[in-house]
Amino acid sequence: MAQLFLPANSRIKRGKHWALPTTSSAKRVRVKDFKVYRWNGVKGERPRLDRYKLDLNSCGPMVLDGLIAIKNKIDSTLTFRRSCREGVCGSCAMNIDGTNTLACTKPMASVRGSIKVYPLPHCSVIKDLVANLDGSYRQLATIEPWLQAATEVGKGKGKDKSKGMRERKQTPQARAALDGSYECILCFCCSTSCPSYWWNPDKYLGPAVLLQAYRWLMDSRDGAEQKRLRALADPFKLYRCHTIMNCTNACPKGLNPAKAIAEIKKMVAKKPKDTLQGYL
Amino acid sequence: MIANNDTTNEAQARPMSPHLQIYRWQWTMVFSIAHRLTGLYISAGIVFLSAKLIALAFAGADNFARFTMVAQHPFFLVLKIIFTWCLLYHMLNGVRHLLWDTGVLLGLGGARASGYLVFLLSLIFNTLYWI
Repeated sequence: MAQLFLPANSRIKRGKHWALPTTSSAKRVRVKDFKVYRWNGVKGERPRLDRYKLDLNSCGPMVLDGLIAIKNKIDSTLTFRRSCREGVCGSCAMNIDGTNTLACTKPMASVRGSIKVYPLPHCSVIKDLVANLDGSYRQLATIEPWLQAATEVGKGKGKDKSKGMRERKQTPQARAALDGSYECILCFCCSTSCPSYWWNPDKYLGPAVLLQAYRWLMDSRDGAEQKRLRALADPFKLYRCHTIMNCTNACPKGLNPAKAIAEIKKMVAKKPKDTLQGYL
Repeated sequence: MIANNDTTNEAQARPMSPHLQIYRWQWTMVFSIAHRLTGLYISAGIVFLSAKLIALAFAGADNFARFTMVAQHPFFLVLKIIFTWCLLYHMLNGVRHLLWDTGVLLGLGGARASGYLVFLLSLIFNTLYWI
């Protein structure tokens, strides 16, 4: 059952106001207001919303640049994940200005008014903007996101096992079928934007994991389609998707998990009933 | 409520990050929740419609006349106008869902445009029905 309100220990209280750091070099100051979710890891203490003032002329253009500037110049205790700073690692996924996205590819100029930053929604919080995604990672493992070929084409002969090994070839068309799903960086912006996933995070696989399931279903080299579909044909794992489309709205890579889920549903529907035991 | 499938004691002591409270409403999200709410309204409305039919069948002419008189009160008229709109929206959006099941209109543009169209058509049809 959906729990629409936050539990008592999760309600946000008013936080600190941090002053604009005094800088001697900058002549013209462009001040942006940040409101950032903080939880310091002390059990029993409620999270708070801290306010920072930052001079945009003193840092780079993206929200991640702003957060790094805050950490370097104002409050070194602010905690967040980041790595590549160019939208390929998925570490800095967070809720910015109400929607999930990557802090490193979200320009501060695109936010009107103060920039509100929260961790990914409906996750347990590890510290500040770091959300716990362990459950989603475990769900990803259940769809077996690796190639399961029907035949062994690459078996070596004799002492040298690499001898006689061949690559698994794909036609350009078969390769193109993976476009739109292989690009996923597993930032989980989509899954944590989905109300269905909020209410059933333990049973529904969520858009990110289902997009990966689709990626392996579409792989011409993969031979486990039947097994994969049978595992997915479940009222909760797949069919909790109600095409709310927050996933596709949120995806910082411009992918379409909602479409992928609809395609999986079509694949399941096309299978004869007796081949998919259980729900269907 | 355990957030995000994490069942450890430690996780339960952690706060849950805000979700519905802070998420910016997306149009596709609005159309989706509207489908649910109109469905609820129709279900409730059907109970009253059934009551009317039961009144017609068993309660005799006097009671039926009384029922009809009460139902003509402006308050109930408003409820009825909302009911037909809910029915139209739910039905048209149901067609949108059927189309989605065939794999079309699942791009952001298609999903948004079809949502607006369903909303607009439901208003137009409802107006046509009542004038």
